[in-house]
Amino acid sequence: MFRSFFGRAALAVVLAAGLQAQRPPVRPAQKALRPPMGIPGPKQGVAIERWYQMAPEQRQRALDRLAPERRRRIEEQLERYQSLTPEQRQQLRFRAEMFNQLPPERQDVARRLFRQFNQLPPDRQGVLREEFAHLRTMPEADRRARIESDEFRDRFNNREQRFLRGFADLLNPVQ
Amino acid sequence: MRCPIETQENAELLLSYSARRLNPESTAILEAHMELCPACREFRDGQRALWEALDEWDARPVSADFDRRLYRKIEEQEQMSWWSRVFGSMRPMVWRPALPVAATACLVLVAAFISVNPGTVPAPVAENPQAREVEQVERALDDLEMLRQFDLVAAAEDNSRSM
Repeated sequence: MFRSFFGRAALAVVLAAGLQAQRPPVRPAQKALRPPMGIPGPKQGVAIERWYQMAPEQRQRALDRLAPERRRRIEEQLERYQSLTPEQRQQLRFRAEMFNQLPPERQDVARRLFRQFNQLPPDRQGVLREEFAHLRTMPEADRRARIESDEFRDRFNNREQRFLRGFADLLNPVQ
Repeated sequence: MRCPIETQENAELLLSYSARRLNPESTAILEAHMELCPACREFRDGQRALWEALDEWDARPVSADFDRRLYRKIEEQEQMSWWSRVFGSMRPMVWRPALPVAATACLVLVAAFISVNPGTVPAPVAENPQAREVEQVERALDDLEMLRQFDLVAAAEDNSRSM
């Protein structure tokens, strides 16, 4: 009983601190101290550029602090990013610009769905990528019809259907 | 996922996670979020420390003559004058059960203090600039990996943008 009592009290303190952080500033001078929480960080390209602007020892120190699995993933992704051709980078930059124009909630939905996608077996990931590329070329009504079709239900399990439905929703204009 | 601390929504998730009552799917989502969010990580670590401390706490076994001594004390209390009873109740032994309530009251006071003193308590941020850089580059790379595999722009818009 005490555990839950303490837990709730501790949560109340943390939430109060969070609320405080979100409160509008009282004096204009306070504005410069810290950007309010919830504002998205720098855009993808800027974040990567800043990373490479750090001294190699600093980067090394930062990576050394991470769990091995997390470190490996970041290093692999950096390598992959560096190996892109200029055209691929340009295309990716374009996609990122479009993605950044989505409302933050939709961006978070996409990230969550993609995390779920990454947990699927690699062969199924390939199938889903193909299906999504196909859905992407369709007009919205056709896309909806395809997702509601028996063929779609037969071909994909519930988890895969949820992923495709969620990603397909992101293609629709914001209501 | 939207930060439960930042948005003040789904705060119960954090408590359920700390109590290991969260289902595996939500646990995975929350843990992925904690990888990026120092505030949630800090809360999780605090909760973990609290749980471990409580796990280590064991009530002492009741002694064999507990009942006999208790009744004797009750008898003594009844024979005391009214002022001895009032001031006698301030002894540490009597206060011990009230300690958890007092601790909670302190926490509530801290929360109240925070809410009436703007700007005095900093919002949780990344521990150091390097950690923040790692988090930002990791998030950026995750986004780019997603966008490398999936173009989230409908083809109709795609055509119009290339014209």
